[in-house]
Amino acid sequence: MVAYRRSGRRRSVLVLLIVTSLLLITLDARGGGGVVGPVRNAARDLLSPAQNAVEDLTRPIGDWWDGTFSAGELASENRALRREVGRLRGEVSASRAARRENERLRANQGLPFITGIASVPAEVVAASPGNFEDTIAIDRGSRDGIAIGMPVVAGEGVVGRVSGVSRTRATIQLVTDPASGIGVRFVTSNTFAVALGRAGSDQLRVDFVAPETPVARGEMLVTSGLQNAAYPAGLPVASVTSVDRTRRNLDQTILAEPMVDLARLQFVRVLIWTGTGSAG
Amino acid sequence: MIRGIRLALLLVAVVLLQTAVLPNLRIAGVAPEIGLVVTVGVAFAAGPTAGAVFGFAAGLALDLFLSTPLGLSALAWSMTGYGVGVVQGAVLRTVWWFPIALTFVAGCFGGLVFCLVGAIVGQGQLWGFAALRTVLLSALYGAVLAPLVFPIVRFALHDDGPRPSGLLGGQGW
Repeated sequence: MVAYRRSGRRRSVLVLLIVTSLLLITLDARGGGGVVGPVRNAARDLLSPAQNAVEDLTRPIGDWWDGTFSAGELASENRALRREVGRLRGEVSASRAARRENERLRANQGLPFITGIASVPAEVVAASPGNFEDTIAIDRGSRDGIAIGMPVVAGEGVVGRVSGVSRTRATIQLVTDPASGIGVRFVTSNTFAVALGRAGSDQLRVDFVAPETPVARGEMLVTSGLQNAAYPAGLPVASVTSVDRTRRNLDQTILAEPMVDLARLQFVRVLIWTGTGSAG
Repeated sequence: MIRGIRLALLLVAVVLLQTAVLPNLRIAGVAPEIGLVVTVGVAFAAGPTAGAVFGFAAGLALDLFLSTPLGLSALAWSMTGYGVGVVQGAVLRTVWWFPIALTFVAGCFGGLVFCLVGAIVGQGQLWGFAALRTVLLSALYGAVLAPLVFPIVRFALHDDGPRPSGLLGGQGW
């Protein structure tokens, strides 16, 4: 009898937790950002000093880990060479590292493709905490003028867009995030398409391209800048890595590699540009 | 009281590890769900109610830092914590690898609940082979970490009362 009562109480607790979870999920999924957003922002602001301290303390471990375990994931020869160089230069002095960092920061200051648009420089402070999203956190937030939806770029092109912002930090949804879609234009053919993030991949899938459109490997994709676009026109996004014609040329599968090496981002710029809509 | 403080500190440590350390320790692009591993440890040592409550709290805390809907991890982890507690309570004798295997199975279960409910509420990226691969790898990674995490959980749950027995202690709650 006692065991039965205890079992019933346990089940009641579980049911209560499940119902609470489902209520929260429904509230958030149905656009309850007005309620959930401030709670999320407050938590992120509250914990960000501790996160920064832990990240600074454990960064050498992360660097070592990255060098040891990421070899299998690096597809391109260019990246493999970089890793090789990284290993060979394992004993680079602190002053040399600081000089490189300074050079990257300066390169980030004068991006040729964003002339005329105000921007805020920022440093990447964290990678995505979840396995099912491709995001980064930067050390700038709403107090620096950053708002949700703003485009983010780095030296070589588009990085993504702001998907969350607290007072001191912002979350950037990378172009490779599975939920990301960005309106693009093929530079050569002037054809419009959509570049979509793919789960478990660092490449983009380019959709809505007519089968008769000639697409070559290496062709560059830039932001379309169409009406309601989330990005200004002409920002470099990716370059085509493979074109696979299937189903008797009725369709073509196009993959493209982002211009920016998103795995090794250190500095970015947030464009103070809210666009005209929320579409890619 | 002291046990409660230790569990709260464990919760904060889980969030800090998951948001600031483990994203840099990925294997094949996948990080372990340390909160789920700790939840399994709590459920294993203290039973289904404790597992469900800790899983809910840890999941909700982590949800604040994710872009998926708030409550999704809380739902998956509370169900996982409860299930692990029930299974552990029904097992009379265990072998040394049982907690590790259970962590793997629990990781798969929690990940699948997360993906399934997420896909239902509109998170399309949680549906497909890539998501399944991520769930399996993350569960495997978590199982490998279990022998390191469980003693810490046992310490956090330890009180001055009768000492539980076994690798992780018996079911107390």
